[in-house]
Amino acid sequence: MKADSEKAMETMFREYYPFLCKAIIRVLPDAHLAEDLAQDVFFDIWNKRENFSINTSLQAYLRRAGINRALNYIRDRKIRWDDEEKIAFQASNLTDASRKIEGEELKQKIEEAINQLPERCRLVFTLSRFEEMSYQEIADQLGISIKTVENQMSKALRILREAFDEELKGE
Amino acid sequence: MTSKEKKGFSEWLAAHASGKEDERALKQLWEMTDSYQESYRPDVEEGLSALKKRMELGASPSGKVVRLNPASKLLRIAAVAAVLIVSGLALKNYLARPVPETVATAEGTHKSVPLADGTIVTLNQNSRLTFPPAFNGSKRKVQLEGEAFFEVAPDATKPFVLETEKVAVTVLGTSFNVRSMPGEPSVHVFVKSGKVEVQLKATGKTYQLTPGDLLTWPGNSQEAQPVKVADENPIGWKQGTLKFREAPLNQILTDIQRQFGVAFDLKNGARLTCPFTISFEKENLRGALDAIEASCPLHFGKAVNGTISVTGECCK
Repeated sequence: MKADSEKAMETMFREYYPFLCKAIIRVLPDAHLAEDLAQDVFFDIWNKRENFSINTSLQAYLRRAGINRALNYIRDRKIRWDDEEKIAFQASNLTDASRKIEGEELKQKIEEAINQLPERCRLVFTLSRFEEMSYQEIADQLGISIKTVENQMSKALRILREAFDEELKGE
Repeated sequence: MTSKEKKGFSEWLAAHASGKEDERALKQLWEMTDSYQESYRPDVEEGLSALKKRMELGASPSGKVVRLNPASKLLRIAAVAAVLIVSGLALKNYLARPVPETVATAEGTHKSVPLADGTIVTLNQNSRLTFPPAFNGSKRKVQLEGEAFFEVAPDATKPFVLETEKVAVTVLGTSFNVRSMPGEPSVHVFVKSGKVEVQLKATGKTYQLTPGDLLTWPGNSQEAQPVKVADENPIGWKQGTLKFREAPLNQILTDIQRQFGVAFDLKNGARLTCPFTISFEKENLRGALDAIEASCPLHFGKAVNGTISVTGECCK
């Protein structure tokens, strides 16, 4: 029976681990951390396997559990939300601005641009864009005001629009 | 966009757009960023062996990840998760379910897979089928990544449900073909016999198909369009054949695009409506394009990221 459970756990892991890692890395862009946190989620389920039930899809549950862990991790590092931004973002680091790019090159640039956003800016942006959270939910989750969320989003969008000035023209 | 995404996007518009120009730029930014972290692939085997070690020890991990104090910190943030952990689907049941089997094909190979109910699945290259060793539930559920032809054993009491990333296909007993390749935005469902119901996951919309129907969903736009096709070219990959009788050239190019997973970029609006009678037997892509070039002053360029530019005039 134990062997059966292990085999089932392995199946579930193979089925959902890539999905979970990808969900986490969009909020916490560090592969090692994302994978550690994803493994934590599965290990937690394993420990609770005798009396554990959910009323949503397993996928939705895993995602929520993984994102919560990522947010906790970020909070533990004591990001001070009231700090003035110290990291200056320079769009010109990314590419020579006057050239329109596409395909893989564009994807690469998107990756870099989002990763280089100041941390709280990035976090607010990715929670809104990828986690389907409203500004109110983001504010609640991060323990900041909705006004701060809006300001951070404005900032993220402004930086990204500047970085993709050429690509966002016309069409 | 899914309905949830629409909600998220409308919040962007409400808070950060003042005018058409902003709206357009934000929409583009929303779409562009969809690819974020898309190329990241975790090492599943490595992760699994780390997890197994922990399962053996039965202990919490040490080191790298900061362990959280569950009482104080988790409580605040896990409010959402707590709502989820009520009752319903017991994980025990999930863990005790039969372990599904997976059959995959490499480049250039096909495989015929018999299922427990007598259904035969023919897998095209670069495809993966996941199915249970026995169909115990009220439905016969299988999953596909790629392209396959299904000859489903009739059983009116137990619908056969095929899922891909983008569509769900429900049938009772019939034969049909699905192409839903990872990396290709479009999905194609072709029915050879019987009735088939297709649901697009992006819109939730369903389509009823009958023999000869080919449903093509281009991916990004929301509408799919079933058309009747007289030939069996949508399942031509099984024999490696494509046959056309007095078919307009653009139809031929459409079928080639689907069969070989490429996209043509027509330069100068090349007119392609004239009829051709041509057949390809066990032809590779370049061979098929050469055959067209030989009978028509068209030129096919080199494939760049799966796109081939087409120049020249063919039909006067």
